[in-house]
Amino acid sequence: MSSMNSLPRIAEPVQRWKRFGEKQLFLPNHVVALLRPKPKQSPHLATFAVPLQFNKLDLRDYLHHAYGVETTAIRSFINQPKPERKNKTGPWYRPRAQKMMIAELVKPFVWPEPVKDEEALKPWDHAMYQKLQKDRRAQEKKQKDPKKVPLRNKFAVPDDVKSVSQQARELLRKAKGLKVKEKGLKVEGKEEGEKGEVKDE
Amino acid sequence: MGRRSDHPNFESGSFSSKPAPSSAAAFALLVGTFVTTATTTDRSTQASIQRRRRPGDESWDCSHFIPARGGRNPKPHKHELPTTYYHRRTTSRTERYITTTMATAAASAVRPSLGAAFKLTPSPSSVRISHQLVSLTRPMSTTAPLLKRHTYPGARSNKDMSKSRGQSALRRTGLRWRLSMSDDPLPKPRSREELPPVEVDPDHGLWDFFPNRETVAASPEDDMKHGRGWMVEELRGKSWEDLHRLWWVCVKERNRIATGAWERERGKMGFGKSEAQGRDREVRVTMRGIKHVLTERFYAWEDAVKLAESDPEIDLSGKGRAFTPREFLEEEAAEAKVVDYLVEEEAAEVKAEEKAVVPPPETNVQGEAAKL
Repeated sequence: MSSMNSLPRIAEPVQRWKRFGEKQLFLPNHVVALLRPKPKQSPHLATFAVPLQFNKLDLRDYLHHAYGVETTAIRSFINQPKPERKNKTGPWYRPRAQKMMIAELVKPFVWPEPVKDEEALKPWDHAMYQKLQKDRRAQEKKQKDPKKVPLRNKFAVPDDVKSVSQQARELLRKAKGLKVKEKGLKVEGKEEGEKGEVKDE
Repeated sequence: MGRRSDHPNFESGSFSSKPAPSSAAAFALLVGTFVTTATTTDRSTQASIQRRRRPGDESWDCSHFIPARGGRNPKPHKHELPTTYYHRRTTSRTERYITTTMATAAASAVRPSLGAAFKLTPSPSSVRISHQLVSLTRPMSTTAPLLKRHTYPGARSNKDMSKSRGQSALRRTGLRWRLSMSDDPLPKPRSREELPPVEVDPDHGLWDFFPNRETVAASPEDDMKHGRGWMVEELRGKSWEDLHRLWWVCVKERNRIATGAWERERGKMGFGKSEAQGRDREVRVTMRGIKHVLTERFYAWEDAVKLAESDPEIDLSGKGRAFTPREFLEEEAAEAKVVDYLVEEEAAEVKAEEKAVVPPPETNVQGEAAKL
């Protein structure tokens, strides 16, 4: 406690709002989400994702009446997403923007530490989720970079295709009366080393 | 500015420290001779004299304007070198004339010779005389300071309007003027680790945004633990207070689900989107039911108002009692009337039956035959 005494005392923020809105709203249909603050953000700040039609006074009254949270000031901004297109070739459109508000709280609020432990994340199937995300990212990267896409002749030839083509080649040679290589397939019932016979190794 | 050698005064005789018979003549001689000596001396002397101005030189010392430089190379940066601009104009016009003419020719030569000049003319009277001298020399000069500026009534002021010229945060020039708090030590901010941990109120209202106080986001398993939403039939019997309370429970639940979803997606915790959406859907079913019931009640009320308009017992004017039932006796009388009416009806029916019971026999037989 002595170390605490030596520290400078920070004045408690005082609520400056004197009046609240007078219009009564009985059945509000808004969804307000509380977001995790940035790592170095003050515990006296709380970030909210609010509907676009919300204003600062709305949030202040909402927090006061519904949650009993007192605020000293509220800042707001809108995150405008980048234009997108449907199915990569469709028309361009801009996804709906997201309004954010940062409320200065009278009483500080510290979030619990983010869950990083793999064991604690098991209920969300974190390992599988990560694997899928990684695969998807790799796939996207591959598709975006034309250099990474191998040429047709650089593809690995499957074994069955290889063997069929080999057999076809040997059949052709046999039809022409040419000598078949030793590497060829072996036909059962024939003597080994006989000329013109297909051998299997 | 023209070359120094073009100046007529520059071609006067050599420097002499001897005081001249008249101080005025001596000053004229001096003004001419300083530069001549500087220009005519051999190269080695000139080099030794022509050193760069340093902040240590008292007439140029403006180091108090400039933050101290440490490190291996204490030589000031070129931008830190003071310029004449930094000087307040405390010198007399004569001095300024001398310095400006000399400094450009051979900057180093000015200072020692100036010192000599002021040794020679220490008294105010001699300064006054030198002033006259300057005015004497003026017609022969072609240097810029002596050129009379072309002025006319309403001419723009020639002063520098930029109060912060030469100040640069990037070049760390400092301020042009000394501030009262320049030497005050600034307080240092404390690191976050030094501060005591913030105590969060366990009853803080913001906890209501969390589905789970430890992990913030609810696990999919927990999200799945829900039944169905309230059906309209179940909500019809509820009062407005109950419905209103239930609505706010739903609103908070939706906020909780949204907060959990943000946390799960931002923190890349894993799956659980569909479970959260399923929970949200059921909440919305309840909310829709509440609105449905309230709408029904509103329609019923509208119909009741219409009915009341034609009801004599109900007064919609808003004055006095809205509902005034009729008198008791009136009601009884009405009842009695109804009873009479029923009795009359019964009697009529009996008569009709009697008539039917005794029909003409022929027709009856015919009727029976037809039936058979």
